[in-house]
Amino acid sequence: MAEHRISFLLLRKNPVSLFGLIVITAFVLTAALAPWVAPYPEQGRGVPNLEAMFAPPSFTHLFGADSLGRDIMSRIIMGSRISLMISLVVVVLAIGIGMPLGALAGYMGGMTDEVVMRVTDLFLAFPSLLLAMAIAAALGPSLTNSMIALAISWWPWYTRLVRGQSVSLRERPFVEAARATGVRDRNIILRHILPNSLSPVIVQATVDIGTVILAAASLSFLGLGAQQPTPEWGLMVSSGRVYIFEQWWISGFPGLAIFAVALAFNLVGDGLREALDPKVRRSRRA
Amino acid sequence: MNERLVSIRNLKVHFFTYDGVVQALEDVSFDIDRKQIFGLVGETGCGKTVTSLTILRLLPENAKILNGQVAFKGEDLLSKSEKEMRRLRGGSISMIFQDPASSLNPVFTVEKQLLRVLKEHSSADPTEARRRVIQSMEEVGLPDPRRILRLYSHELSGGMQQRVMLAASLLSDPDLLIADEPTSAIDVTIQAQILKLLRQLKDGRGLSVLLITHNMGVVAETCDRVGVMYAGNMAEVGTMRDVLKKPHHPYVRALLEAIPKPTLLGKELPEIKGTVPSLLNPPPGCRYHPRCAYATEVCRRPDASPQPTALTNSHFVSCYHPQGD
Amino acid sequence: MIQNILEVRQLKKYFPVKGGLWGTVGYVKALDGVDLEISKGQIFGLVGESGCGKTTLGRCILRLIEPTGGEILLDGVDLMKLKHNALNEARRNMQIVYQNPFLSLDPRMRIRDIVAEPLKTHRNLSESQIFDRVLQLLRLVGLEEEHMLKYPHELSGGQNQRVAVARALALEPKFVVLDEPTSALDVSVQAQILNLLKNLQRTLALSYLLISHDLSVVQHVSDRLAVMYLGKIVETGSSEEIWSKPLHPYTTALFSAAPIPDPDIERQYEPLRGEVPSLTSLPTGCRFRTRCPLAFEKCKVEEPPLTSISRTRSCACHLIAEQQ
Repeated sequence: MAEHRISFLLLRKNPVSLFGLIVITAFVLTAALAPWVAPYPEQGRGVPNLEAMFAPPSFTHLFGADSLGRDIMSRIIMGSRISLMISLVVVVLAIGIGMPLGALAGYMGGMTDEVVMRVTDLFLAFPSLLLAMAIAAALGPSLTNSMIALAISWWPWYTRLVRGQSVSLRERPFVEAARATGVRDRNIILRHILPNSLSPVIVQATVDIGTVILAAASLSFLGLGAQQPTPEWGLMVSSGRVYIFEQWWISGFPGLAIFAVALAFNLVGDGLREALDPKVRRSRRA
Repeated sequence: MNERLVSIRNLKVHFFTYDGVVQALEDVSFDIDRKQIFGLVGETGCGKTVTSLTILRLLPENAKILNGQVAFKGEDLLSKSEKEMRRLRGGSISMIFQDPASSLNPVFTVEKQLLRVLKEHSSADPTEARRRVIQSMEEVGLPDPRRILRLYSHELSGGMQQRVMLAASLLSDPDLLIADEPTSAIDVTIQAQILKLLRQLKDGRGLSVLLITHNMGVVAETCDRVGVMYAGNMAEVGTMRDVLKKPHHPYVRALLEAIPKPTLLGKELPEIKGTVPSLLNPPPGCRYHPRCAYATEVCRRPDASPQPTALTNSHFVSCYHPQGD
Repeated sequence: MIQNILEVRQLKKYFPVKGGLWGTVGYVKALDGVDLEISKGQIFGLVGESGCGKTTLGRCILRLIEPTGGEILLDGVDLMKLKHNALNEARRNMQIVYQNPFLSLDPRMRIRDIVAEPLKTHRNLSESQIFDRVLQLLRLVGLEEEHMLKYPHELSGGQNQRVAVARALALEPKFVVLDEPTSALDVSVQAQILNLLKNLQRTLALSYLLISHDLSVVQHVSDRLAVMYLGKIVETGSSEEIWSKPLHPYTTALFSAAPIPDPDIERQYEPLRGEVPSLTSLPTGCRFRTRCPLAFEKCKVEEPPLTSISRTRSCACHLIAEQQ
């Protein structure tokens, strides 16, 4: 059986990661089809509907309505697009910066390694959320800037991860064999080191998507990310803060969405880690 | 007294994996007597390690023993509980592996590890325990045991590590020692010493050894009886002389001829064409038939693997067309 | 005039042993002055046990590890003097086949790409030209077109080793280092690969340095052989000579220690006493003296040089030298 198929099967069999997989699928589908799934897409985008101000959850508004009468469910659905976009952009950027740097540092060793890793360590010394906050504040609060800030905080993790992989890979006979045939260092990194470092990066990226959604929501919650009337989940939680005791649904449902999605990615990431582990695969009973 | 220490009959073991069912062992039978070194020989995937794991009931979860009997000192091992097996392992049946460095814990001294092994199987007081450990170490030829006790495993050479493993395995006064490729990771000059040691242990304390190896030279040096396995089948069993000098199974004959010898200097080595079959989908009937020069229709018949035929009362071959006189 | 494809002079490789805060407390002298000559079209075997330096030697010759000192003349050109680009060019003439075929092939690349890589690096060939050449190479080692799209884990050890050989031959090198090419393979497959290597050597007029700890393999295939111990060569000679009459006490012990699959052939083996000394603290004088049954006074004081005993034989032993 092909490698990927076995991984997928193992993933599906694990009940916990299966749950995560279902939630993620629902999330992605929702984000893709948002304007058609949302019952009130206009309200989702921010158009007020004052007649339904503070409406509690009911059949017309399943998750209730906020201070401007906008349907919470629609806003969550429209907001899923934003969350997905943010997390994908940030993770792709972080990998795009971090992976090549890590491969370079690990394979070349010596001064290159020292310099790259010390810079990486510098970034890692700051708690990532604080760093992102500082950068977002400096750049000015906006959705785009929060993405930049998060990407800058996230890339060092990938550098460290891939550097470790590269160091062990460069000792492997097939890399030495490539050197023996005269392949240039740059090509060795591109053709041999990077492809073979993918597995842990994929696992990390999966978990990170969830973590970034959480982080982006945190930034927006603090006012450093998306601005009104964008239906970003963190922003929604923030704006519902003052009404939390009476109209709990305004913060409650967006908060639940953040929680569910972040958890789902975490679970799938864990399941992936197990599924990709060659030792586990061989002993599992079909 | 019952001479037969181990008796294995018609062992059939399958592994259930995502790729399908691996038919690891098919109808494997052989015996090991007391005070005997039995060599289990074969190439990769022939099932020799699986056999030893079956005896010790250490097979992974996805393996199933579908048929067969494993008798040790007259008792059926396959029906014993896990608790009873645990007492046997490291007790009456000891095992040493190929890479001694990975069997030894690098953060404990030799003394600690050997004492711990002893504690599992006896209740001697500390002085007595130490005495027995030193005695065991002397028995395996370790020079200056008291000094070695204080060392860590990485401070010992490969040969000495293997001797420590042997010493550990003897602490419980086992009847059977299963040695899985004990010298494959060791230099040739040290290997000779370890093999000589195994023979001494057999003669001296009546130890029986199931020696698993892929090296025919090791077999010639050390073993009393040999069983050659191929793709999960037992091709030929007999005394070392019978199998090495008068092999009858075409695979065994071809295998012995393919080994480079000084007499063949410069000439082409007789090859065995083809490769070892996948055990997911083994050939029907005799598993060697696709590569055999003497195969006929009967060899290919499914569910009709050749049964062991007696050439003498101690030499058996599983083949429809045994070669030689 | 027979020219040498390879001449190695006083090759040294010392690995520093770090200790304390910054300092180097000692050196692991993996290679301590090795001289070697391989003529064109010759198969030269190198034997020894673990730690003798034979693998390090193979790698140093190709400069996959940087030697600490010495000269390496490949077809007359000193490799030690070459810089990066020139070295990569020179690499076309010397290749290596590793011990473990599963580790020496990139698990994420298809067979076709693995064999094509050297071609893409050094030549400007079109896609179809590369395809033809790859197919030709695969057929040369006994594989077929159907193997081209497979991944290493889909092939057996023997087949993978054939791929490794095909890759090594892609650039038409003159000299190939075979580092334990059959040690990870079963006996039946070993025979196939050894026959293949011998045939290729004949048809393509190659020279080999065959490194192995398996004496029977080396004896069977090599024309000449050298025995190494703790970073130095202790004996050289033709395969036949050394087999029939080993001179150096270590050679004698090594050859008699190897188990023979024939119970009728008696083997006098006197186990060497003692342990192999550490490479960081070698004995004074002859490094074998601590285990040698024939050691005498001079052995403690002076290191025996590798002296020519005859036109084809050399031995590094005081006793043997005095007997001549």
